[in-house]
Amino acid sequence: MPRWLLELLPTWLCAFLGIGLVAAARGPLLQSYQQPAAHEEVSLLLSPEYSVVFSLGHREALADYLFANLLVKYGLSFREKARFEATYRYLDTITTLAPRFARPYLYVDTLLTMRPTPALLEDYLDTRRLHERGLEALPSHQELWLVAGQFAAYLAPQRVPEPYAKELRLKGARDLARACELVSNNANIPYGCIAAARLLNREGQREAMIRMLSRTLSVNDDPEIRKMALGYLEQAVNERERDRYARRVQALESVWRQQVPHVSRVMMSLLGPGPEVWKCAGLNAALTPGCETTWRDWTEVKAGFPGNGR
Amino acid sequence: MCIAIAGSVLGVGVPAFFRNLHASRLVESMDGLERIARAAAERAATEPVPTAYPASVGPTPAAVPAGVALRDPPGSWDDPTWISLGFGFSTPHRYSFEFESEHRGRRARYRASARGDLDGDGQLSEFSVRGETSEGKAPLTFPLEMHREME
Repeated sequence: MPRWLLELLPTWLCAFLGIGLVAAARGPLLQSYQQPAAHEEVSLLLSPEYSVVFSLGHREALADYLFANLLVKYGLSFREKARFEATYRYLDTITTLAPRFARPYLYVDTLLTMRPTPALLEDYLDTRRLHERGLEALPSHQELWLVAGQFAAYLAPQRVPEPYAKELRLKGARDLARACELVSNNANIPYGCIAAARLLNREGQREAMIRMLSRTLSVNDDPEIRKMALGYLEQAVNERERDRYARRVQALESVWRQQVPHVSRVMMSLLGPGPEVWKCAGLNAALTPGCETTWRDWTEVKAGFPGNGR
Repeated sequence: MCIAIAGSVLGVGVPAFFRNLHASRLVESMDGLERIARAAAERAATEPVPTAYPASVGPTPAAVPAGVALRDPPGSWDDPTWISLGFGFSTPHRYSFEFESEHRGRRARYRASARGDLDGDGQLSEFSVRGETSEGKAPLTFPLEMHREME
């Protein structure tokens, strides 16, 4: 062997040994380095109660920051094709810090159940828990009622065991019924109302279904929706109730056509019956039939449908 | 010395910043598909199988925004399908959405997809959800599908 080759041998040996050592150590080290990184994410986030104190009064600002951070982590989890374990803790902390911050509630089902790995039972239950928190904090947020209702009634039940599924379907139907009562620009809402009615009926909530359909009818002018709602209502009630309901609808329609045909049905509901002022002047006259100023009085006195004026 | 440090900081920070920025925008597609899935399932629960899902509609907007958020021209989301799904955007956004449906016999199915090009390199990421319904059964929504999720 040439002398120059022998002189180079230790150098090459060291280099090969070094490369081998790096190759052998890199894999496990990388793995153990990444694991604590993911774990730190969980442990570095303070508990919701501590976060409130830590925010020093700037609760909304901290909630905003954490929400932006969560969206980044959510996106990065797709790059890593891994489940971001701290999602619920983030959302819990954000909604504790700013309970009336609507966006996190609207994104809850996406962030917890649309993940790169299949969602677990706890993700669906956590989603429902956060939706309920949102509905409590924002009771007039129509879109939130709709989102929570659709998720609980249609998406979650197919992925959870039956006892949970039944409960979720019922809660979802009630949320959708509530969404129907609130004002919205969403042209699709009346169809949601009909769907909610079907769900309530299927779950044995007949009274709730009748109440909801009655409300849908009283605020909706769309003939197609009215036809669908009436069809379901007719199936749900007995003949006597059906007659009573038909008479009430006819009486209301006649008041509408006679008094304020130029306004919508909803507007008429808000205005109330219009008494003839010259006939109803004075204390005694105010109590006579035809002088009612609210729909409840009008229903009880004039049309004779006790308890159904609302 | 200062320039070297600033250069190093920028060298590390800028790519990470853009990576995070792109990652945060992914939620638009996911939330869009979730909205479509919820509305489609609700409609399928109300309507008979032949009309369980609204008709197919092509990519909206027609061209996937390349690396920028675009505001759609008026009327972009006026297609009856988008209206019946209650879906659309009034603010600038980065993904193009499509809805395909078919009805065969006693079964109807749909596929909603979102395509995006967040870095504007012409390579598209694609996400989709599928669902189906058949007579007498509750509508089903299948798990998310992804193709080149980070472009």
